[in-house]
Amino acid sequence: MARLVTPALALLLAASALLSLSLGSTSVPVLGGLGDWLAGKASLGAIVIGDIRLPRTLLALGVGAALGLSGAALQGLLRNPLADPALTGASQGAALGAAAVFYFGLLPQLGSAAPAVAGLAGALAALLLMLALAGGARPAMVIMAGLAISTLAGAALATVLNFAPNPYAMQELVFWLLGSVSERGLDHLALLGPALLAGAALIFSQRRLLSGLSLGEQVAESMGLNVRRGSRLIVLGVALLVGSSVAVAGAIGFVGLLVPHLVRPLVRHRPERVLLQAALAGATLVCLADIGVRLLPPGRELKLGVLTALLGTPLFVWLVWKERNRWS
Amino acid sequence: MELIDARQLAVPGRLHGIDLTLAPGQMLGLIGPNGSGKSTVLQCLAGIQTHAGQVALEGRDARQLPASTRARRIGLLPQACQSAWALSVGDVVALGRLPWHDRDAAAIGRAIEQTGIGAWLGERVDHLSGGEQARVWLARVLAGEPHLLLADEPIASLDLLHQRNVMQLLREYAAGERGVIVALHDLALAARYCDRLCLLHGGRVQAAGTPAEVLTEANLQAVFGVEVKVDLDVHPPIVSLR
Repeated sequence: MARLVTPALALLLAASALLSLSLGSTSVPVLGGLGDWLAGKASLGAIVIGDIRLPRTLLALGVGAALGLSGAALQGLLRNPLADPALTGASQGAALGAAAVFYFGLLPQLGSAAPAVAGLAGALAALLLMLALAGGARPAMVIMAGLAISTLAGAALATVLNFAPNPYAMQELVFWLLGSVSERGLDHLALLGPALLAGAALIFSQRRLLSGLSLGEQVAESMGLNVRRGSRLIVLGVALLVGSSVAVAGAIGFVGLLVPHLVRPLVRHRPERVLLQAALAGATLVCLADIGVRLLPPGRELKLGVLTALLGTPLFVWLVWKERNRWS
Repeated sequence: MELIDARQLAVPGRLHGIDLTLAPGQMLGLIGPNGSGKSTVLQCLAGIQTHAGQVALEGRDARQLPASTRARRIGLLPQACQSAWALSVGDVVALGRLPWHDRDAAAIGRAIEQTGIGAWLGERVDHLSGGEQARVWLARVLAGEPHLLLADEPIASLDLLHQRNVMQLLREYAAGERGVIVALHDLALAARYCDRLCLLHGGRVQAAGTPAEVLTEANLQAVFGVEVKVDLDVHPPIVSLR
């Protein structure tokens, strides 16, 4: 059965992507529009599919994959099923970077991509601060350092909100932070893509470490694995993934925390094998959630991050309940 | 050539100049009260504890060996073991092959057979009893087929039958080019199964040699602070409180 998991999840992902491409107020053939767009033809189908729905779909898939993969990696590293990738501090750093754009009107030449670029810079700054603070510490302390930087960035973000120049800037910032993949273009993908590839490469290079860490740091070290170096590479990968996804799409909660739990039983709980499945399932889940947002009645838009939080919270409560019963 | 030769092992506050050697085919028992440094010695030999002093593994300076080579030669069974995830028994045993970058079915099969855990391969390891889990953790180390097996209190959670089985297994493992160093609290089992013993006290070697040389009433009273009756001439040997 385990062998069928990857093809089944890939199939689900492809189906949800096709559904996302075909859904919208204008009825256009997906493949025809995609073909026109690739051929450079200026047809209605090319504009609707290629310029509007494709970036949105790819962004939803990319953000979901990044969040799912980062959650699986961090939970494996900390040996804790309740670890959230936002613990690295990159998420709050990205939010602070984007907030600075709304507040100070930075990077006007970048247009709508400015919050994303500043967000990525904020995530990287938070990451460097975290690694500097962590020094040569063990994985648990690295996350403590991340939490400290996350709290610091959160406090700075609250200050920015407190002194917002006008209600519109604050509203814009709050709406952005709620998380969405709508009204984004291929320039956002150009930011997310490389970070997704780099983060995934770092994490997948440490699969053996995640496997060895199942039995604890002492056992992993005795099996010749470099726990300190490897854990830094994993945290770096997680921060890249989370920082870039928050930078381009705002905060989309619970995906990183919950998706690994959904797929773990499918791969016999092996932490190194959860990675790919969590990425595929995360991508599918965020894409489906975005489809859900678009299917809601027109009017005031429900933000994607709000929907994932509303759906994710009951699952999280169930998870805490299950863990409580396991240890009590 | 010694399998392992440690000189002046020192860890501040825990070990103070420990000398220890093990020849191939031998089983060495580390004994001593809680906190005497048994686990720390094993961690130093396994290369996971920073220490002063020299360790030579099969004639080569252990510090010069790549971590993966060292991990293939030395297998460590720690005192406390737990799986963070609900892994199957088969997957836990296969983890022993990590230093080799493979899942050698023959080596894994031998480890499973030696520890007698074949009936639970598909079971979740966290669903087994403590004693059953202890055998799975041992099988994980055996699957790596190390030349030197370091076992830290491997029988602590086992019933009498499995205590005997595991000690017998370790005894048989210490053959040919292989050796075993085992930390133990049961002095009678140590006398019965080990070729040599090393009695630690406060991070120092109190006595080292054959069981008859180490397990004297004077040595044990000096280290444990209680009167002990020792009779190594009977089978099995008797070491008990007076």
